[in-house]
Amino acid sequence: MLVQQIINGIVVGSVYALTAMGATLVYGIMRILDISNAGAYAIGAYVAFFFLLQTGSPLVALVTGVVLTAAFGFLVQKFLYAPLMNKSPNVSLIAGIGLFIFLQDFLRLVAGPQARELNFGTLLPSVQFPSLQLTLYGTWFLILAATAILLLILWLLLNSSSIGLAWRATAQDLETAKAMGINTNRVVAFNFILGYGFAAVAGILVGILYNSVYPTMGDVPAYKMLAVIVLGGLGNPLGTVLAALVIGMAETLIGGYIGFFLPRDAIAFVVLILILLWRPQGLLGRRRSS
Amino acid sequence: MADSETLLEVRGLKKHFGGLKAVDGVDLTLHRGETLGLIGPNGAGKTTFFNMVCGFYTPTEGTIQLNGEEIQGLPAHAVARKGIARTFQITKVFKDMTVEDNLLAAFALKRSPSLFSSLRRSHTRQNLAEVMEYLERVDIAAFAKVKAGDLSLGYMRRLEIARALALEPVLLMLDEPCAGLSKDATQDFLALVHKLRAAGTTIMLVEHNMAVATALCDRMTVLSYGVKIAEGTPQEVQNNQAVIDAYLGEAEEAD
Amino acid sequence: MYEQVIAINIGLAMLLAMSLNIITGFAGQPTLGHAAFYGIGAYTSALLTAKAGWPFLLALPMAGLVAALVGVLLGLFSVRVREDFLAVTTIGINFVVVAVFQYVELFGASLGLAVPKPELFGLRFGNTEILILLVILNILVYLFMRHLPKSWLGLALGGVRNEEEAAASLGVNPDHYKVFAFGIGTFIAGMTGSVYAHFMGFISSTDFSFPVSVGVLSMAVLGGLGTVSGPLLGAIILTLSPEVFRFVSDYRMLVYGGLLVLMMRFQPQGLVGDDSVLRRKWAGLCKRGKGGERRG
Repeated sequence: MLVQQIINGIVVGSVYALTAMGATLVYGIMRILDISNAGAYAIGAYVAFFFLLQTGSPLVALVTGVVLTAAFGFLVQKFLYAPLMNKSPNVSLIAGIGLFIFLQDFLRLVAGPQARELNFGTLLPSVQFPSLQLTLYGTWFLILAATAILLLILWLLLNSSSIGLAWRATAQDLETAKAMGINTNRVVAFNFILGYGFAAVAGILVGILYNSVYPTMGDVPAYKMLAVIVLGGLGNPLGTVLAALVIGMAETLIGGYIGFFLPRDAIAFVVLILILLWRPQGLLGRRRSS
Repeated sequence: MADSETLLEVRGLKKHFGGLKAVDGVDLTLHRGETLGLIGPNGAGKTTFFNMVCGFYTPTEGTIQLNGEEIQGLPAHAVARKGIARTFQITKVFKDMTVEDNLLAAFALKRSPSLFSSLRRSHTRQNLAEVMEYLERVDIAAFAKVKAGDLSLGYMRRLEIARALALEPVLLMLDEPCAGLSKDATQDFLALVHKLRAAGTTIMLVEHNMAVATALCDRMTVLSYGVKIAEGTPQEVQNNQAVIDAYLGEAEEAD
Repeated sequence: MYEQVIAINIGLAMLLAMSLNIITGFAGQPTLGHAAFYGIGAYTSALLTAKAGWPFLLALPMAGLVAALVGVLLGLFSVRVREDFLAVTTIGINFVVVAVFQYVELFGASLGLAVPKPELFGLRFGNTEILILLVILNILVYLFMRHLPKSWLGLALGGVRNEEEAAASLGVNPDHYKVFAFGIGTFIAGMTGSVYAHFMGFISSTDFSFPVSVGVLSMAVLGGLGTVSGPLLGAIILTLSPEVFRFVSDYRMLVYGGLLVLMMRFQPQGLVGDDSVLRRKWAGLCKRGKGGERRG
């Protein structure tokens, strides 16, 4: 039973890791909290839903969902965030919130408020261990596999490619990177596209996991993922994964075992506040100089 | 027991950042009314030392005495209240406030000692008149109602000095005050500091530029790799072999 | 009377927007969960009057004090963490507070809480009396906002907002002033919550959710963060617009989101902020030279 819950927690944490990765990447370069990322999450799911309906092919649905959302991210970065880079961070924060609200309502008006099914069929079978009271659902394998693959690709990209090098240089110090000849505009744009791409993947996977796509599905990720990325130390992908797992486990275990009197969504923030009280820089963040 | 001529007495000051020994045991004495230059090549530890005196870093070891009272480890705002005023290498004027308000903020230390007294009105005719006096001393009175963020760098530097002076400090600390200034602006600035020296202000100056330091200082302390390698009048220091080597070493590295 | 209700809503909104402006506009600390303090004040006042029999006029300031107590705790927390962290933490506080109201029996849980109408010397408070009270409170807070840029507090907050280290070098303890700003802002929000509770007669946790915080922030931003009259203008506009644009009521959130995006993209200083379109037009009309509003 406990093993079931632990694995469940890891699965939930994996989903959170993917969901939060987009915003983490964006913060790492642009130093802004992009709440519209949660809008991209919902858009990715809806585009996948639409193309699944049209073509019946899960693969086409997945690819178009990610690609089209990422392309949209390019436009958002170019026309909204880029001009706001030199303003106070509150400005981009509120702009992102506005965009998120707009996108959610747009989806509601275009696709209707009711939930839709995102059925990719039984891609992977469930496995049961009756003696251990353990059931491993097929969707869980899908989630874990997808998360592992995507994070691995991201890791390779960041650490073993020239793009990754440019990325890390720009994240450290944009001005210096520019002075060294790195095309920082391209890095920033690519980074944001990647951010929206990850959000789309996360949205699609969650749509599959719960077999449900609805306009306000971005609500919970929008706020909870902020807790995850702050906990991870803001802008630190590894920290984000760690924080996601911590929160995923906390929610599953606490919710499952203690008839908890607070809803799941508040747990993430309680964890965040408690940990920040102990370590103000987050799990893997760096201390401010004294 | 400090004599009445000694304003600042620093003994054995150290600052280690993990393995990095930025300042590794420096002694320094500053006399009332003198202008002391803290010089040395890049990375010598000058700014770290400076920040410790001003309360922006806590020393790993050592003591700092102002008028015989130990102040090491006090936070920046407390050090300011003890009578040390500083400027910043990268100017930190309050950009969205007017020049006038920037300076008025400095009066808060003496005229609004507590949170609750801060509710009192600051913009009285008396206060504003005094503000103008300070602005006139550094020649920026014409910009009183201009937003500080709109000033050129040279004027921002002057505003910072005026703000520091408005604290009526016993010690004025200038952090690379001529960095980024044009030749003309530097000359204007030197003239201003000369005026202050003539008025008897005690000044400690961090400066990377030998020429500026020589023009301004009565005495110099030279740091290199966190330790003091020479001390004396500008003439003495310039002819000191260790100092020459230190700066030459820097020039070689730059090639 | 319908107009009275609208006026009351505007009065509540203006107080909330002004109080947020103290924290975010003047002290420069992001606060995205202001509704939490609105709620703390509302529930405190409701419980004191309904369950403990306190008179409204005592419950009102007490609601402010309780909200300020939590606000001060938030302020103490804020000085330890970086600005970005603070923004998210304030969101978190909003969620946690709302969850507590929603699930804990004392606050009526999901059923909400009924609130008695206030009484003063035997006179029962109807909407007219509530409106008068709101007018008084608004005038008091507005006078405080006008005084702020010309006070030492305003200058200290301006220092903290612009360059914390430089403020410290002038003898200003940034931590003290940040906490003070949180305390004042949340105190006002708490009192506003009390008025809200007694006006509505019934409160529930969803009245104080995160979207409400976003709404309050938007009002201050729309008008101009850090200005004196900006939040008032923003509050009036955003409270009236659902009424004015009834025909787009189904598109409300769309318009609202779009408005935020456009404002931030093209006029982030707000309608009456420095060098805004309105200010320039006004200056052109007056021909007395341009000027931004005084902050502090």
